[in-house]
Amino acid sequence: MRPTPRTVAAAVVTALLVLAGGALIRPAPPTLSTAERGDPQLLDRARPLFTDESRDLVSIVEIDEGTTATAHFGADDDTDYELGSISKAMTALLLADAIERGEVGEDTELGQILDMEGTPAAEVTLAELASHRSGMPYLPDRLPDRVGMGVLNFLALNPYIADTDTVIDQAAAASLEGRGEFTYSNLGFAVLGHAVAEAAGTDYPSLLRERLLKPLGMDDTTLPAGSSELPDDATSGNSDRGRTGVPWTVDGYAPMGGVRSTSADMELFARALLEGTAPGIQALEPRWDDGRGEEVGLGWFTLDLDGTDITWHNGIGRSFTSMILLDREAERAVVVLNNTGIDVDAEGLELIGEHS
Amino acid sequence: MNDQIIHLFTGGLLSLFLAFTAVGTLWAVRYPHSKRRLLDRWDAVNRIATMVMLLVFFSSIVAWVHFPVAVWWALTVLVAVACGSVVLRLPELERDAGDGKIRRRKISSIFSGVTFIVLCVPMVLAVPLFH
Repeated sequence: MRPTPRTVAAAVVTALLVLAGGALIRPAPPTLSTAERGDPQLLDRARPLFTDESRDLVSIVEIDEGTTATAHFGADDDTDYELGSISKAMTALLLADAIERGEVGEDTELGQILDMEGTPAAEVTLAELASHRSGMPYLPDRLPDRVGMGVLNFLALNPYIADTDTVIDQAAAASLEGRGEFTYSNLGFAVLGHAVAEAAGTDYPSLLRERLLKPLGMDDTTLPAGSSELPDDATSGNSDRGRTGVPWTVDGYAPMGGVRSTSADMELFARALLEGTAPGIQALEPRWDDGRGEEVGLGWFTLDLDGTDITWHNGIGRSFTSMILLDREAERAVVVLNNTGIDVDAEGLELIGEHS
Repeated sequence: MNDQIIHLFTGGLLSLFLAFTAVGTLWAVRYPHSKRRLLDRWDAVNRIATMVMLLVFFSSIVAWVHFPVAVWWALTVLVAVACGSVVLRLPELERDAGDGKIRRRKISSIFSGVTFIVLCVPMVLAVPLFH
């Protein structure tokens, strides 16, 4: 049977609708911005490192004793990025600072600070949490939490929507496995931050602001707890799915990954760490084997790069990645910030390795 | 196995599955007396819904920073042609093939439609809503 003109029109419209829908949801991975600014030599060294994979904005800070060089691709000193797990490194500094102040001890147990009596997590010490040796799971292990976070993650949304009380409940309900051995835990670090804040008589955002950000002059570093707290001009990230990423504005999970910062502020941070003037600097000292050939202190990792000790932490989110690396002996530091979900670990190591 | 190989493998597998589904539908349209022919209108609707849902699923789950975007466009065109060709055949098809499986085809169509919406809504609305 020969189709009528009406049927043909319907078929064409259907095909066009599918094509239009396809165009609407098309993946479009970005490429490294060509708008460069900063130190020409650092730009020349960095460019080949970031052109192989999908990138968009990249900011690099390199401190070499007294001098600082920056390189920006599509960004400037004030472009804000999600730091991801570098937030953990900040939380670890707050813990070490609280220990120096006598508010807590390394062996203080969670149950002595937070209301989680009778649970396995109550006996976990703050040092175990900070060095990922508490046995706490990577993420909450209750089935509803796992399903909820799994669905949000699958849909490329923000899985870290729990508030502080929920995070504490999740930690209290967690079953511990392999306590004493290294198991990287987002949940552990989130509850650690709240415990340190509780011991100081405040909440985590206030603690971070008062004890770390203000003293170091990091005025553009923020901790947005929800999308309403995100400025309109906040930098957008790019997810690995080739689309603009949903920002991870993190509430209860803030101590493990909620901080946003700029390269200008991260220069202040890195310089204070190199100079030893950052609060809680003892956190950086390597103390335990992390089972991967590296050592871990309170939150901070140390690796051997061709005979040089590099103290580092990275951040890997869905739409932003970051890394801070310190060669404390040579007083050198590299910070790499990026708004795609592809990690910058190899690039950071390459940059700091060139002169170490 | 590094991440990139895993992403290439996953993307490749999903591409093949979607391409196979679309080509199977084109075959069903082209050969109305074959074993895999379109059985009735609900079968046609079900095939369109399934292909469109798979296309969105494919778009949602693949790490496109590690997988060639050209594959996305090729599959979108293939699915568009397959959907259009099914619509061309729609008037010739019976309302119910009478094989007792129409309920299954209706449920499958609805499932695909709902999944399509569940996948599409966050993809299109999440960034404007949360940023």
